[in-house]
Amino acid sequence: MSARLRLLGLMVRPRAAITMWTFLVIGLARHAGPTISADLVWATIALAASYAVAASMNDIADVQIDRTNGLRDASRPLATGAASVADIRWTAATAGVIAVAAALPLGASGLAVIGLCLAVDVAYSATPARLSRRWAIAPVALTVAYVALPYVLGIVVAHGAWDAADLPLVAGLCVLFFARIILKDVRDRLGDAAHGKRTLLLRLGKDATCVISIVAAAVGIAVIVLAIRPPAPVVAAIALDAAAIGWMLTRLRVTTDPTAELVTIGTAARAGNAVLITVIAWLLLSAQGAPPAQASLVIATLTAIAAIGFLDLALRPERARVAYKG
Amino acid sequence: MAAQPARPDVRRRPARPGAASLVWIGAAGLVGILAIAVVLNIQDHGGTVPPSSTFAAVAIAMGVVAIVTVAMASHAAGTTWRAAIALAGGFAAIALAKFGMGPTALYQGNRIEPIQNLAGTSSGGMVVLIAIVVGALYLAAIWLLAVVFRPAAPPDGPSGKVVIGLTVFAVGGTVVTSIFISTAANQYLDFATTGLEASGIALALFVAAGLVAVAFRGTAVRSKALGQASMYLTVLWVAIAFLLVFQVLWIVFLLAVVAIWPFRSVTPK
Repeated sequence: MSARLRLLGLMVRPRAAITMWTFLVIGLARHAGPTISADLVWATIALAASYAVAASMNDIADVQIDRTNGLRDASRPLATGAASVADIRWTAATAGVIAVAAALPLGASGLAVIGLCLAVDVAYSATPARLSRRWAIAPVALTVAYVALPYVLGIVVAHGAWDAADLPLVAGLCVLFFARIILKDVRDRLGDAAHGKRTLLLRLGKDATCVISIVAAAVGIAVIVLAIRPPAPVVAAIALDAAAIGWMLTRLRVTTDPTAELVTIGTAARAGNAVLITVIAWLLLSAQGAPPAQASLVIATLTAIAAIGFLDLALRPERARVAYKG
Repeated sequence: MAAQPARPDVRRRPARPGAASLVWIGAAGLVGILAIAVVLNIQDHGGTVPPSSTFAAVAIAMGVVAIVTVAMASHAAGTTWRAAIALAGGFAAIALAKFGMGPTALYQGNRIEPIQNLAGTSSGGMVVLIAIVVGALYLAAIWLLAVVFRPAAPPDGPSGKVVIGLTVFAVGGTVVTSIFISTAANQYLDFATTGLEASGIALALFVAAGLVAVAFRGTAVRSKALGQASMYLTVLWVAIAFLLVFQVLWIVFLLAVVAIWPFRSVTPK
């Protein structure tokens, strides 16, 4: 039993779960400012559990691809043989129950959002829908599951209601995330091709995928800025992050070494995270009535810290370590 | 003389900060925050400017926290008790300067020139300038700890040029501020660099430097573990100070740490 519980913890994959949680926090910050409540804890548990469902279902569906791609680290217990299909199915079922149970205190709207998350998780990997095999729909489904639904869950936690200002912000976040998620298949392309999994990357080619990603990142960030209307220094900070993303994606187009490609994608993702952190900081500070100058100073500090980490990777990519969202 | 072979019958201590060290450093953060919260709760009864006794109490509390936790973390990282206690004394002295004398100097400056108008014309950009200078000093200190206190040229550390550049920037920033800024920022620097506060800060930092030097001499090797533990603690104190000022941003700090840590790991999927 304890081994299965450990397996359940393994399938949460904290870094990916935190990515989803970031969008929940943006929804919360937009509607309630800095808030700590029991509902936030329940929503966090529900979201993490729903991600464990998604990871479990996907590991079962893609086990052969993972093995072909050599993903035999501890975060892939099925591929390594450390767990059986039955174990992973138990994990998915248990995580699903936990997600629903944690959503109960959030009321009907919270249950509905988590229900939709679970539905997308299952439809993405399992037959008959198996959205992961549909190259045009797969990234859209992931964007909905990772960005839009967690954002709405954040509104639920805030006891707020969807309003007109949410649409451009969610749209911008979704487009920015789309730019990121279509690059995830670079790592797995050999296995995907060997097993006939059609992805956007394999269908359109790397060059076109990079161009789409660059355009989507630029459009997404522009829409986000228009949605939150921050002061000029914060816009400058976000523009700096956007330039960093553009730099890395341009480099990705001409990079041929597989490891260098992964480092470049990961480095671009770091700049994307900096955008999200800046958005949250501005939403929280403006909700508290902080003067623009003070908020700008805080965001400048955060941007400087992010820039140090980014430049260290961008200028010396050979020293980076490729990790996975384990 | 040939190097002695490793003794298989002697248990070797870890060469890097293990879980125990990090637990002690984490405990330092928690106890430090609690200590400051308690002091503020006792001392700050709604006044707009905290009394000097608040800074003194916080400095004493953080000094005690530093002595205990740094000593335990250093010892857990593999140093001798003598070196661990010396290092702890050094950090306690830094705590006195950081949490007691520095803030006192800041509020002495504030009595003459208000700092509330952040970056506004009447403030002379005092807070911004102080933040830049102090931030640059911290950067220099952290990089020095990361590089100089390691046993060999680190494969993942910055070059010596970077360290020199940061130091020159920090010193240059301080000098430029002193020369060209004649308002509140200069007054703060006056308080921090002359008079009783300056003497106290200088004495505390001198004692700190001496004790840290004793600690490193006592370890026989300039332990990488000790350097890393010192660096973590310095970063932690900056984080505590930042959180005290901007509590509402705890989520942002959490996400920022997750986003940049580990420094050289990237997740392509």
